[in-house]
Amino acid sequence: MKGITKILSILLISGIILAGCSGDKDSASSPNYELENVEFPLEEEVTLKFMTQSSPLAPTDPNEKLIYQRLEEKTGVHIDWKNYTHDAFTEKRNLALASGELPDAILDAGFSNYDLLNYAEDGTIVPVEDLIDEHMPNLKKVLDARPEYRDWITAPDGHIYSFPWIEELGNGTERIQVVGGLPWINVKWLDELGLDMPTNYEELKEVLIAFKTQDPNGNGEQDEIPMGTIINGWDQDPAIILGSIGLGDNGDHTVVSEDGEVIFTAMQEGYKDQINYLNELYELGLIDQEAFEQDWNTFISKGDRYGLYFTWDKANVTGMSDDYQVLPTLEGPTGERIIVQQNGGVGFDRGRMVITSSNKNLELTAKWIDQLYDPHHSVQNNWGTYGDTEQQNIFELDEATGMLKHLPLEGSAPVELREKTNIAGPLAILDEYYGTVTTKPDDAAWRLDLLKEYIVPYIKNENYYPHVYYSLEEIEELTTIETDLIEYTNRKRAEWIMNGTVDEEWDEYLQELERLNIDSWLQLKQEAYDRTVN
Amino acid sequence: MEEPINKKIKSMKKSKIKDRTEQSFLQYFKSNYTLYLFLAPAVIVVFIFNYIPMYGALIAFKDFSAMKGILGSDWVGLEHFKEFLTSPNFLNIFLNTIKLSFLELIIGFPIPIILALMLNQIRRAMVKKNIQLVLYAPNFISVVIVAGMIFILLSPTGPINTIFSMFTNSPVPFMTDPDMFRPIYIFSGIWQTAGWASIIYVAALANVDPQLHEAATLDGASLFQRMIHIDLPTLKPVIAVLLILSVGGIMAIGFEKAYLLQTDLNLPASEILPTYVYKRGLQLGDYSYSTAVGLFNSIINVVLLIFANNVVKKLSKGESLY
Amino acid sequence: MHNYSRKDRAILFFNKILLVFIALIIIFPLLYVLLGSFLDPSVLLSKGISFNPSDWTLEGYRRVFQDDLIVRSFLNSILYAVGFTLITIVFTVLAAYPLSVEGFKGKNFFMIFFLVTMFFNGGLIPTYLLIKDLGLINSIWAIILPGSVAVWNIILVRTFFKGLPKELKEAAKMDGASELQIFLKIVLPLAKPVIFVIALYAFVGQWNSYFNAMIYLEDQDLYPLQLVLRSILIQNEVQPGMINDMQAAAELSKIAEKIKYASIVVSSLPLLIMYPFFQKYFEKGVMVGSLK
Repeated sequence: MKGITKILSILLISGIILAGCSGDKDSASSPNYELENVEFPLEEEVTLKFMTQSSPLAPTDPNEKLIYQRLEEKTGVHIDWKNYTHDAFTEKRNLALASGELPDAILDAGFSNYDLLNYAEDGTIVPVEDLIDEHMPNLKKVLDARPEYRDWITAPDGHIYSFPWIEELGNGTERIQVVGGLPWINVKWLDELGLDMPTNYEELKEVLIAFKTQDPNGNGEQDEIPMGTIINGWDQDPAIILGSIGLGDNGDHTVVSEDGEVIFTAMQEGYKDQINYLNELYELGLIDQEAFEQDWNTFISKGDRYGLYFTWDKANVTGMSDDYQVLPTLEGPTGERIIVQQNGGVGFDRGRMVITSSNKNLELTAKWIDQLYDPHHSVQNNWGTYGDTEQQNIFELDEATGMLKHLPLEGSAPVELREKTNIAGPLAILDEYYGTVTTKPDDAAWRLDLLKEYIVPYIKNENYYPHVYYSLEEIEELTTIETDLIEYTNRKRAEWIMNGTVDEEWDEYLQELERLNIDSWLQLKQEAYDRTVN
Repeated sequence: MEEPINKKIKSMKKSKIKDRTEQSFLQYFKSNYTLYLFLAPAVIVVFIFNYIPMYGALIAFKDFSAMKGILGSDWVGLEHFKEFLTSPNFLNIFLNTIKLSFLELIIGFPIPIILALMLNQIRRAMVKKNIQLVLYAPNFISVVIVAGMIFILLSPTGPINTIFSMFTNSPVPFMTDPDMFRPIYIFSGIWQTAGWASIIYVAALANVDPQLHEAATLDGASLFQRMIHIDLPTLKPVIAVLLILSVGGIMAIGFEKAYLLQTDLNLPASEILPTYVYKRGLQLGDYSYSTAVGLFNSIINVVLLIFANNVVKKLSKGESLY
Repeated sequence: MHNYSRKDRAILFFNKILLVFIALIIIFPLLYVLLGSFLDPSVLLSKGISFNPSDWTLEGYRRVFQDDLIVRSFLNSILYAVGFTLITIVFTVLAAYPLSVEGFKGKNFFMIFFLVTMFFNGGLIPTYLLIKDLGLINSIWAIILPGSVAVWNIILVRTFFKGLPKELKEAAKMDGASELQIFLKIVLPLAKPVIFVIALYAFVGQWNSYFNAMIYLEDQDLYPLQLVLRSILIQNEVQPGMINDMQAAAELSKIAEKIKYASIVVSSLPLLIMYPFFQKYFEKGVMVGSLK
C-alpha cells in the first residue's frame, strides 16, 4: 500500500521536475562575444550555432567534412550544427522557426521567395545589405561584377534578406541550365536492329515499337522499356522532345513569347497534340508503365532496360557508356525543329542562407559567410574538396598556380560524390573563374558541348521567365492559385496520356482552369515579368 | 403568522441540508482522498498535454507569427475559415474525409463478425487454431510496413498486376488511380485488422450453451438457422459495445496511413483533412490556416459523433457512447 | 451431435474452403515479401519469384545488418512501446477505478474532463510549443507521455470494474478494508484480463506510430523503427551506413529496392514469431475484458 503511494508520488514529482527543469539553459543561438573589427583567425575560438541540411549519404555531423574543418582552422570560429537530412529538413526548420527557437543562421536554408518576405516581415530574419557593404568584400565584388544579381536578391521593399547561391556555367542560351533533361537514346539497340536515328515523331514511334518487339538486348525476353520517363517529373519528363509540336512545353508550362507575352502552354491548342502523341505511345505499350508514380530511385533502377529516357546527365542513370547518345531534335509537323528553354536563367538560388534576429554577432557571422564567397571556397562548397585521404576527391590542388583541378570521376556518379563532400551553402562561381581558379567539371564541360551541338541551334526564342522577386501579396496569391492549378494540370496531363480523352475533355478542362483563376495568374506573372525585365 | 414561521423552518432546513452536503463533500474527500489521488496522474497528464495547448487554437483566429507569440499575434477573426471554405479544394477534401471514414466503418465493421461465425463452425480445434493464427498475424505488422507492401504488391510490375495481366492488356494503375485509393485503404485495413477484431466475437461464441444447439438440431433447425437464431443473438451485446467503440473511433481516421498511401496522382481521393492540415502547416508553414482547418475538422468530428451516437442509441436500444 | 443434413455438410465444407482461401489471401503478401527478400530485385522485376538457386542471395540481409540504424531503431521502438504501455496501464487503471466507485463525488466532472479531449485539441503547433517549453524535445517522454491517457481505455476499464460482483467489495468493507486495500487486494487481481487488453492495444498502437517521433525527435539515434522504415519503404532513401564504398547511383537505388524486402522481414519477424505464444492470453483477456 505504501508502495503504491510511493510510486505515485515519484511519478508526480518526476513529472513536475521534468516540467520545471526545462528552462533555457541550452539556447539555440550563441551569446554576444562583443567582437568588433573581426579579423580571422580569431585569437580565441568562439562558437556560432547554425542549422543546415545534408544528404543522408553525408556525415551526420557536418564538422566531419574536410571543408568545415579547414574553415574552422582558418577562422577560429567553431560551428555548432543542427543538421537534418533533406527529407526532414523543411518540417524541422519550420517547427524551429514557429517556436521562436532560432539558431544564429541557417545554411542551405531553402528559403523560398515567400519564406524570405514572410519571415522578414515578422522579424525572424534580418536584412543584410549593410553587412554586405561593410563586412563582405568577397560577395560585394561578385555583386559589383554582376549588378543583375544584386537586383535578383533585392526584395521589392529594397532590402536584401538572404545570401544567394550563384553558379555560372555559360551564359544566355549557352548556359548549362538552358534546358533540364536531355533525351538519351540507346544507339546500341539501334545498331543491333539496323535502324537509323529517328528524325521525326513518326520515326521515333517506329523505333520505339522495334525496341519493344524485336528484343534488341537479345536476352529472349520482352523486358525492354522503350521509353523510360517520370511524367510531370521535370528533367525526367518527355517535354524536351515535344518542342516542335505547338508551342512546346517545359516543367512549369510557362513560356515567354518573342514579344514578351507570358503564355501558359498547357492551355494552347498544340498541347493537345503533344498529349495525343504521348497517349499513342502509351497505348502501344511504349512508355514505362510505372512512369506515373515512380520516384527517382525506381526510375534509375531500370536504367539498362530503357530505349529512350530523359534526364540531366546519363551518368546518373546508365553510367557513362557510349550506348546512350542524345536524340537529335525531332522535326515537327511544320517541318521545323524547335527546343523550348527552361525558365529561370543561370544557376541561382536566392535564399541559400539567412541570418536570424537571435544572432548577436552580426559582423562575425557576416565575415564568416563571406569566406564562402571566396572564389576558391565557392568552388569547393559547390562540388567538393581536395586532399581528403579517406575518400575519393573531386579536386587536386595545383600548388604552383593555386588552381583546383577536377580529377577524373573514375566511374563514380558525380551527384553522389558531391553530396558526400560539398556543403551546398551560399557561394558564387562566375564564368571567369574557369581557367584561373578551377577547371570546368568534366561533366559540365561535356554537357555544355552537347548542348551546343544538339540544343542551342534549335532555340528559336531567346526569352524565358527569369528569377522574379515577387512581393508578399503577389506570392500569396500565386501560391493560392498554383496549389490547385499545377496539381490539376499535371493530373489531367497524366490522365490523358493514359486514357487519351484530351479532345473530349478539353473544353471542360479550359473551364476548370478558368475557375482556378488562370487569368489572374497570367496577369500577375506578366506584371512581375515586365517589372523585372524592363 | 404561521406562514413565515413555516418559511423560516423551510429555509432553515434548506441551509442545513446545504451545510450537510458541503460538509459531507469535504468529509467525503477526506475519507476518500486516495480515490482522488488515483485520478491525479491521468488528470495531470491530460491537463498538461491536452488542455494547455488548447489555448493555442486561438491562432486559428490570428495571423500567427513566431516573433509575436501566440497571444501577441494579430487577430484576423474568421479570415482563415473563410479562405478555406471558399477555396476550390474545400468540398473535395471534406467529402473525401467523410467518405473514407464512413466506408471504413460500414464495410469494415461487419466482416469480423462474419469471420467469427465462420470460425465457430470449424469443429476441429487444431484446424481452427491454425487458421486463427494466420488471421491474427497481420495485426502485428505495422502500418508503415503494410503501406510499403501495398506499394510493392500493387506496383504496375508487381505480383498482383502480373496475375491481372493474364486477363487485361494494361496493368491496373492501383496507386495512381484516385478511384482505387479508397478500396485499397479499406481493403488493406480489413486485411490487417479483421482477423484480430474477430477474436472478441469468437470468444463470445465459445460461451454459447451447446445444449441450445442440440435442442435446436433435434427440432430440425438447419445450420444456417441456428447461426441466425442462436449465435447471432449471443453476439448482440458485444456487437453493440463494439459498434459504439468503432463509432467513437470514426474520428481517429488515420493520418498516418492515408499520408503513407498518397501519391501525387491519387490526391483527388486521398487528400483528407488531417493530411491537408499537415501539409499546409508543417510543409508550407501556414500555421494559422492549418490550425483553422484542424479546428474545422474537430467540429465536424463532434457533429459526426453526436449523429452516430444517436443512430447507435436507436439501433441498440439505449446503449450509447457516454 | 454430428447428424448434419447434407445441405449443412455442404455449407460446412464450403465454409472451410472459404476460410482456407481467406488465410491464403492473408499469407500471400507475407510470403511474397519473404521470398522476395532472398532474391535480387532485378530478378524480381523481370522474372518474379524464382526458385532457381542461382538467383538467391542474402545480400539484402547483409546490408540491413551492416547498418546498425535498423537494429538500434528496433530496440528504441521496443523501449518506447514498453514504456508507453506501462504508463498507459498505470494511469488508466488508477483513473478508471474511482470513476467506477458508486457514489464517487465528482465523477461527472472528471468524465467530462476526459471526454472533452476526444473532441478538441490544440493542434500541432501549440502542442509542439508546449513540448518544447517543457524541454521534452528529443526526449523519450515526448513519445510516451502524451496520448497515454485515452478516454476509451478509461471507459473500458471502468465498465469492467463496474461489472465486478459488489458483494466482494462490500464484504471487504465490512472487514474494515480501505479503498486502497480493496483496490490492491481485490480489484486489481481480477482486472488482469482487461489490463492485458489495454496493454496490447497500447503496445501495438505505439509500435505502429511514427508521427510524434517525426516531430519531436531530432537525433537519428533515438528514431523508432517505423520512422526508419518509412524512409526506406516510402521515401526510398538509402541509409548512409549501408554503403561503404562509392557506387553508381543506379547501383544505389537497386540496393534501396533490395533493402526494402529484407527490412520488412527483419522488422516484422520478431513480433510475428512471438505472438502465437501469447495467443491464448489474448483470447482469455479479450473475452473477460470487454463483455462485462
